[in-house]
Amino acid sequence: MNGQAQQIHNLTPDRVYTLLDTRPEGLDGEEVEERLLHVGRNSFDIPDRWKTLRSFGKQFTNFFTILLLVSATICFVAHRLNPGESMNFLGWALLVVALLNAFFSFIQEYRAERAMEALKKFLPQLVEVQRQGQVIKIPAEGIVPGDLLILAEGDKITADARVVEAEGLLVDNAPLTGEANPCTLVHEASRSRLVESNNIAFAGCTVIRGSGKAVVFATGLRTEFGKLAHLSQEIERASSPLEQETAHMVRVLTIIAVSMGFAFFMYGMLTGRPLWVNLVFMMGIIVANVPEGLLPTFTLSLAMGSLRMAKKNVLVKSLNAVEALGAVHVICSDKTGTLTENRLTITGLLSPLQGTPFADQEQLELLTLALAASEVRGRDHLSGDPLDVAVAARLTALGADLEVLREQIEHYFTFDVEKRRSAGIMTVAGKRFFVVKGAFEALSPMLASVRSAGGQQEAVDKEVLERAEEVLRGMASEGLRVIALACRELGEGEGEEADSPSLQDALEKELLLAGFIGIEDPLRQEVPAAVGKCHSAGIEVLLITGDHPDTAQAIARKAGILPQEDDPALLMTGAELEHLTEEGLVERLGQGTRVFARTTPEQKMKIVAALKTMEKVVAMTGDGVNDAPALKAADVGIAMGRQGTDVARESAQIILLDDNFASIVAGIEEGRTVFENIKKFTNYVLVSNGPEILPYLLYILLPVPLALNVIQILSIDLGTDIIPSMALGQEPPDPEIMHKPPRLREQGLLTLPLILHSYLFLGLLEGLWSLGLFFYVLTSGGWHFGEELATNDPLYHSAMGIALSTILLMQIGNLLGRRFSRRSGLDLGIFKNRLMLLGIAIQVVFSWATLYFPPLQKILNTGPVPLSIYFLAWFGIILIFGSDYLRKRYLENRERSTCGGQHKEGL
Amino acid sequence: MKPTIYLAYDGSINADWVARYAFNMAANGQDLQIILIHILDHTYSPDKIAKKIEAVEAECVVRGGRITSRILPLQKNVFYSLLQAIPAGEESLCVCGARISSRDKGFLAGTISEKLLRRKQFTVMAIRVVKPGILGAPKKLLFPLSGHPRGFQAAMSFFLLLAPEVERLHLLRIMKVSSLWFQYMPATFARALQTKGFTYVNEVLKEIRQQLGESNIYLDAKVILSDDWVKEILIHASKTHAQMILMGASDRNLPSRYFYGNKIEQILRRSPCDVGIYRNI
Repeated sequence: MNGQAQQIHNLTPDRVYTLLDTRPEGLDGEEVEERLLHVGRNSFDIPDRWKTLRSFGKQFTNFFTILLLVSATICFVAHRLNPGESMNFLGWALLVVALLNAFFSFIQEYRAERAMEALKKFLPQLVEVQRQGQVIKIPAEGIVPGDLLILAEGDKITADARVVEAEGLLVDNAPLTGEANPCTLVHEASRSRLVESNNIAFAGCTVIRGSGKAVVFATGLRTEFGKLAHLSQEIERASSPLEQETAHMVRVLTIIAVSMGFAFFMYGMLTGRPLWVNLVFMMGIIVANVPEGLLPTFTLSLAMGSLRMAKKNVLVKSLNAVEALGAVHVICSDKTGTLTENRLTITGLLSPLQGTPFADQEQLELLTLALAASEVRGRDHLSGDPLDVAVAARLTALGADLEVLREQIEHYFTFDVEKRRSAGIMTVAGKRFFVVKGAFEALSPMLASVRSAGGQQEAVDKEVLERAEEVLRGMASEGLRVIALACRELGEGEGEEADSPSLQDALEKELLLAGFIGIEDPLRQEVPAAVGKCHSAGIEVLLITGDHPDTAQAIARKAGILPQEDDPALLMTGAELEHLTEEGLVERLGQGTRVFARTTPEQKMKIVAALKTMEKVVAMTGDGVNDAPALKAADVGIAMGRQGTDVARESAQIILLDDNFASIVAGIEEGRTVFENIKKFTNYVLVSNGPEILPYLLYILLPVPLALNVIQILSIDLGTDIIPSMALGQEPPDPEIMHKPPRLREQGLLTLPLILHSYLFLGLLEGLWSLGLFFYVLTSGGWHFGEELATNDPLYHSAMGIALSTILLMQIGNLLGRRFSRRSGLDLGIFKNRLMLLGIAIQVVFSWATLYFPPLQKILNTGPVPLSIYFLAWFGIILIFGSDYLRKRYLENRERSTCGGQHKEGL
Repeated sequence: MKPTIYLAYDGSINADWVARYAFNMAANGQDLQIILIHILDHTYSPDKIAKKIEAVEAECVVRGGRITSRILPLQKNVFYSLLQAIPAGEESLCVCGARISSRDKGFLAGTISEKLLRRKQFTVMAIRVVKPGILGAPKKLLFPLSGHPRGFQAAMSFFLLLAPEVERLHLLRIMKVSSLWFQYMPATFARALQTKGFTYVNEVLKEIRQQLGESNIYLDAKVILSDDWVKEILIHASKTHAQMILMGASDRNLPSRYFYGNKIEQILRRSPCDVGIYRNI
């Protein structure tokens, strides 16, 4: 055999028909039916009737939901055994929380479908095909491999097809490749790779000009666009750092709660207590251990964080992204529009041989000629090709009257993608000029001379062209896009046959290279400072762009992403990346590669995967349709609000309303603050667990009454602790927050020091003081150790009342202490945080009402105590705040002596 | 001794497309003989079959291949007839199609190809072609690895039959974790699993490099921890733009009567590219 293994793009059109088992007349009905049965419909949807139900069911496998459901079941069982305790209310409450939790998670997941809906808009509903010699219009879903598509201007392409006939066929491949320039399609065989072939019409793309026919060879999910849709749909975003940490915390607390509850349940059974008493007791232990209010407070805190972010032009679609943004280690940023202004500006006008800047008058002359080859509309608000607009804007800035100049333009030849140039005829100072503006490589074959110093001209030879190229390279190395301008004076009558289609070709000869125009998309003013802020916050910034390496490097240097010194190891092109394995890429990233130039959007995914292998939390920006998979694959997908496509926006968690990189950094600062505040209120909430658990331990081990019942515990966890927790969530950012490195993935929310501090220090203190007052009230009322009290005994109610009231008041001291890890917490800032003041007021009022307000007494089974004892409860605030402050001072002094005054992270 | 390729040709469009794979494998195996076998089960008319076989032969000749066609009468059933027609042993490689059965049940489940794979009488490769434009010459291959102790040994002969056209070979080792455990797995455990996976794929890579010698094939390997390996294979196939997924079959993963939940069946149904299921004897 000859071994010429070829694919469809390598063949001539007649072989295409043969090998796709079709013919120029198209398929017949029987063939279509057979192929439809074998490959399925031309659709992205995979029929899965159980998908929605499965997705909803999956939400109930969450550890937290399971815990809530088990707790609810226990409540119902306890209620059945002893209806008097009204445990069924608690059971229903827990069940509703579990269902709501599952429902919201399900809605979140269901929203992912929207990206697919946005993608579907790129495909047509009906298409024209040729079957059995007839051109017919059929639903796009009915297309099969071998079908002959009829392509005409404005058509959306529905499947991947090999072009077999083409007449000036120009397609926009931007949705697939991100390439802004349209691509000309031909029917001839190609030697390049299938995805780069100029004889393939890809699904999702649009015919801009011309007509043709193409044989379908892939449909539905098998098209390149289908793969994009498949990835956008199937890639699941990894759970955010906070989700992982919350899951870990819930797991730890649940294990503690359940094992403690079960152990004491067994102890109770062995010591002969009734079953329902043991069940209620077990529930009490579990309820006391689980901070029921913490997770809703997380959500509230994240929601408030998202509102603050929105004010900074960062729109958050998924609440978890608020904190995830604060946890990022790496930002992979686009160039155009994100780092730069997305506005072309002329920043250099140089003589082609000397490379020296033109004087103002010379600039005016050069740009006047350039205007002849530009198409700009409008007067105050200029519109047209960005390059042409830049020329007109600069002319206006130099004082030229655009209206007058426009009148002098005789003819305009539109920009030709293949020729890479535009042209025009214009009268300047009474002379008629033919002007060409475009890429130097496109103009150089037409040059006869080059403008030299003092208006002289040098004839073109190899050496002169090399000198001009050197000037061009110098400009490109500064990140400028260089446009050459050439012209020649027209003779009498020359160029007047404006209708002639070959006029431009006839005039393009004997040109004089007049100068180089350097254009750039300027860096946003705020970007260098924002990048600097990222660096001081230990966040790496990577630039990923489709631009030329020189342009990418120049912008990266200006932004501060790259150092000023040249180091080739810091830059990588898409071609290099293509041949690099993931392991190799990890190595290069480790060596400091920061700029990726000439990359394709799909290579973004490869970079994300490598960074994730390095255990980095990655934020990725994107705007194109084909950025969708990378946006989903990153920990935080950031889409551009202004220039982004619907698909990108639907795939991302965050939308930048102003497309500005600096806004990402502002969002990171907010995200870090949110996490710091979450840490503060987690600590705050866990402290109250100590005095909630301690009474149960004493009750089971000693012959003493129970100091707190389940309802009283819930009144703290789901009542009075909520507003103070939210207040801590509102605390302003620490000025040092962007001077600390990002936390490691494994650095959890629930650390051992936090547990020890919450349970064994402040929690124990609160427990001891509240129980001390509980027993003081009991003994003052005549109770003796070992004596059993009736549940409706007023003395018992008073004692429970003071225990609860003491805990509520001591939580004020705890709240103030949690504001800062080392400072006291008493400063003017407290008055700016209105929620904090409200939280304190609630604790005070509730502590009083618990003891002296009859309706509340009835609900909570509490009773009054003498005021002198209530004042002792107030002393608890000073006790807890003072003890904690002494701990802070001790730790600060120890840090000073061991670290030379450097502040260390800690509680 | 060189193997002979037996192309089990049923006259369907998938069979025409599968034939291209057979042509390329024959060329890559250095001029292997192809024997086309059609069992006359009258699904298609004899005239139509004769025309189609003629076209297949012509195509093979254009490619410079050696092909012999045998149209055989039906004995008992098609499966039995094929077993009679194809000599048992390692020297026979049966290339057949995985296509939707007439009862619209599955692409492999309940098909003759599945029975041939189970029988282990000769080497079998069942192919589902969904992108006929590849013309049986995939340039990007995805090999999901199940962690077989013999490494790549079972897959090597199939890979070598496609290797000359291959530009990129992606190995994918999925370390399966149960769904419940997957959500709460500690980072240290995940790292240990990943390391284990990498140790395995690195050995496989070494094996392939040794076999290929000097070659320009781009080789990459990925280790993924997942509770849904089918989904990961399909995602990876889309990510890498694979033109073919090549998977080994075993009694464990071959479709059972509960075909819809079967993993191979799911891959065949939802694959973004052609799929080859192979089995050595």
